[in-house]
Amino acid sequence: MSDDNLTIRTENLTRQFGKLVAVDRLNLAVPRGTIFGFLGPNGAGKSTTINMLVGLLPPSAGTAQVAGFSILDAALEVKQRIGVVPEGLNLYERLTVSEQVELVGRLHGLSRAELRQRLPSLLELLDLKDSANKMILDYSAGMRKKTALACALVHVPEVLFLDEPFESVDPVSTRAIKNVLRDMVAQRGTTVFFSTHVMELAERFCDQVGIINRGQLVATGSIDELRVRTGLGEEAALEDVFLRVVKADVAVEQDEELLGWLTGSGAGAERVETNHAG
Amino acid sequence: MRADLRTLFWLQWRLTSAMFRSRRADSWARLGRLLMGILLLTLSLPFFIAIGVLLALAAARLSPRGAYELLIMVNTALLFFWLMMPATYNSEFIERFEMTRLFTQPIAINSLAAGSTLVSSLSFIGLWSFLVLLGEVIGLAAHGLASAPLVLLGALPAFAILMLVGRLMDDVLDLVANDRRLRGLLLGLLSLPFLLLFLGNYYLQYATHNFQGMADFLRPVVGNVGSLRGLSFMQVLDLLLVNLRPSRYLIFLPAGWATASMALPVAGQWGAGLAFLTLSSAAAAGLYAVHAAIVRRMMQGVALHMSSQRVRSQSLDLRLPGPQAFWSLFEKDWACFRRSPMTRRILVGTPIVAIAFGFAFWQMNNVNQAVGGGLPSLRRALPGLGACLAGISVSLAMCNLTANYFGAIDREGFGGLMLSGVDRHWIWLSGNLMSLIFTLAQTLFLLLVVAIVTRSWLTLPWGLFFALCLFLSTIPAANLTSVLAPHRAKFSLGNNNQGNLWLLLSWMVAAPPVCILFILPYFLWRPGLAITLPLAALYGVGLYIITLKPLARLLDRRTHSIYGAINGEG
Repeated sequence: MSDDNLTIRTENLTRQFGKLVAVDRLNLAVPRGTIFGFLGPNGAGKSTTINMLVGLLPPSAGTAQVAGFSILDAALEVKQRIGVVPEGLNLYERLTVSEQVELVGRLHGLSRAELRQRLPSLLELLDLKDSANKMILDYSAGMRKKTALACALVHVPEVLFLDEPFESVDPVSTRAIKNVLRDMVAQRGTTVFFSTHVMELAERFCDQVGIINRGQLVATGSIDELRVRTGLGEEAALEDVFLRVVKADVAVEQDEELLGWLTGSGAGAERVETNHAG
Repeated sequence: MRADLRTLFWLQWRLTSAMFRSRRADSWARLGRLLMGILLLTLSLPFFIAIGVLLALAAARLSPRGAYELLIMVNTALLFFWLMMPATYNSEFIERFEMTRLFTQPIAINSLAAGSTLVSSLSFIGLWSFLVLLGEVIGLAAHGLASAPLVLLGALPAFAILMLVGRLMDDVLDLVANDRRLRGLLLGLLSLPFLLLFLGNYYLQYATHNFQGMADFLRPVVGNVGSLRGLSFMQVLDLLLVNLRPSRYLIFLPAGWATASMALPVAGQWGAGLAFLTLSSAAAAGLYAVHAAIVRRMMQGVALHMSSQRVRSQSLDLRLPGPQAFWSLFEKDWACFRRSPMTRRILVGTPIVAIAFGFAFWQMNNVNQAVGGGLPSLRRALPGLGACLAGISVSLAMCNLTANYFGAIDREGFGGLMLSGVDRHWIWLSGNLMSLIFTLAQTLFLLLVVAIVTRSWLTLPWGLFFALCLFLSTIPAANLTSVLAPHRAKFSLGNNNQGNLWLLLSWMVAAPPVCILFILPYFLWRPGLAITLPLAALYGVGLYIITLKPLARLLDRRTHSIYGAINGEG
């Protein structure tokens, strides 16, 4: 694949926090117009990678290009072309939803007329229209997430970085957002880079996935490619593929002696029953 | 850059105006908030306009030297005001202009550095400072129009220095915004710069023999008292200011440089005025450079975090008589207390208060010695006074914690605790015992300082007994506040949560009886202490025992509302 067709490209991208290597020599290539799912267990380095790609965190080593610009030398140009739903959301709680979205639109150079045209439909899509003049402070986690999504979409970015975008969002809104994102990908060539550990979501939504474990990229490609590579067969669920790739053997599951007190089998179970009887 | 600045000003305006439109609270709370905002505007704005006018009149009518001495004090007070405000004022009433939330947006570093500084002028304190400085400029310019341009020119770096100092304090808060533990520590440490600036400057003067101590500092004024007869108020004020000469002491601070650049040309010292203008402009530029560097570093993801703590599980493993449930709760409270950012904050605050205490009592001793060889009654009263002040200050500091126990200590664990069938008495007893140990330890620390300075070791048992009685008498009210107003504790002035108001009210209702029983006989008739001290102890213990049972029932009944409030759902 030629470099021109890549929206995100990383070369040995590394981030260390003291002795901990959170992201270790990451080499990623995400083509334009792709929905790329970035998967990994908790603490694998997903959010750190996204933070580096959106310019919130400098890499300790390596480089990356987003939308054709280096994250090291042209961070401002990168930020002009991306929309982000970061881990912490970064919303001003005492702004209303429409003010928060307007703020982001203005910082991206949108005129008042453009904002007036875009805001109602965007808030309608995310089911935020009825409470557009309510302060974010008064919102639930799901509504806040949807507000952050509205902020990420208002300026129609080339690349969307979404950190756990559908967490706490209701199924109706999730479906609506997914449909719009798919249309953006198909018609505008937008690239969606999102992290999740919900395998079902990734399986249904992504064109390609990358799996990161302990800071290292352990697999990347389409889900079908990964199924073949792991030898699990065409029907295998992504969850099984993921578990195979990250080598989580769920060893404790079989250890009856260790967990007998909980599962009710083996010697441990008798001890609990004795306790209850006592 | 202009478009970015416009947007940042718009953002600050929206954040400021948001204080009038909370929809979360019920209608009464909303009305209260609106009234508070209107009161703040209608009372503070005329107040600061009045201060501006008074300053203009005073600066115009005083001699140029007197005006300089007055304004240097005013501007130093303003500087301290700006230093303190980011930690208190902005956090609750108006949402902080937290730059870090804009970092994912395409905004240039220069725009953000300049914008974040300039928007400070849109705050209340910015407006107040502007009015005060305007009054100063008008007053100084009245001495002669020739110096007016330099006065005006000097006011610009003065305002810039004030805004930038406030901005830098905000930067420090932004740097630790994501780390609750570090933020807790930092809030405790924020008072340190004021104390160090004051004490450092004081000891510099002392060491360079500018004056030998507070008594020497006041002597020129005391020596001139006889010549004051027949003079007008302004003449007396002028004489006081010129004799006291606070500028020799405050000229070492940036606010002093800026004031000197404004006021010295009026006194005919053009060269010195220009030199101070250069110095204050350089200070403003330096502060801006530091702010811009912090913005750049923060945009690159440099934030201060406490590295994730690996705590050693130090189980007390208590095998003491009594219900095991109580000792288990006590162990839990012990762990939570040790690891809570709030207790650390209070712990950091204690040595700072101790330094201030030591300094204050040392000075009182010195002044007492200097004025007529010392007053024996004052010398006798100092240790007891110090002990009571130590007990009261620790009690007030601990109130933030004891009167919001479920919000401050183990907030996340409250749900689990209440799901368990543990007797609610033990919850109170365990938490209160832990608070008592913590209170007595801090009081002891302060008492040691007072005892060393006043050379009176009797201060220790006296002070500890006072602290114990004060604790027992105030803790039922604190427990009641924890149940009735269990909002998450926020350390800010103008906090709209009723919790903080309840906290203060409960302390003011519960503390006076014990304070009266200790302090009045101590000063008026000491033999009476033989009766009042046991009475104070009886009052404290009795109040605690009587209220424990009803409080346990109340805790059970209000579990849901407490849970909602401390988790931010209320």
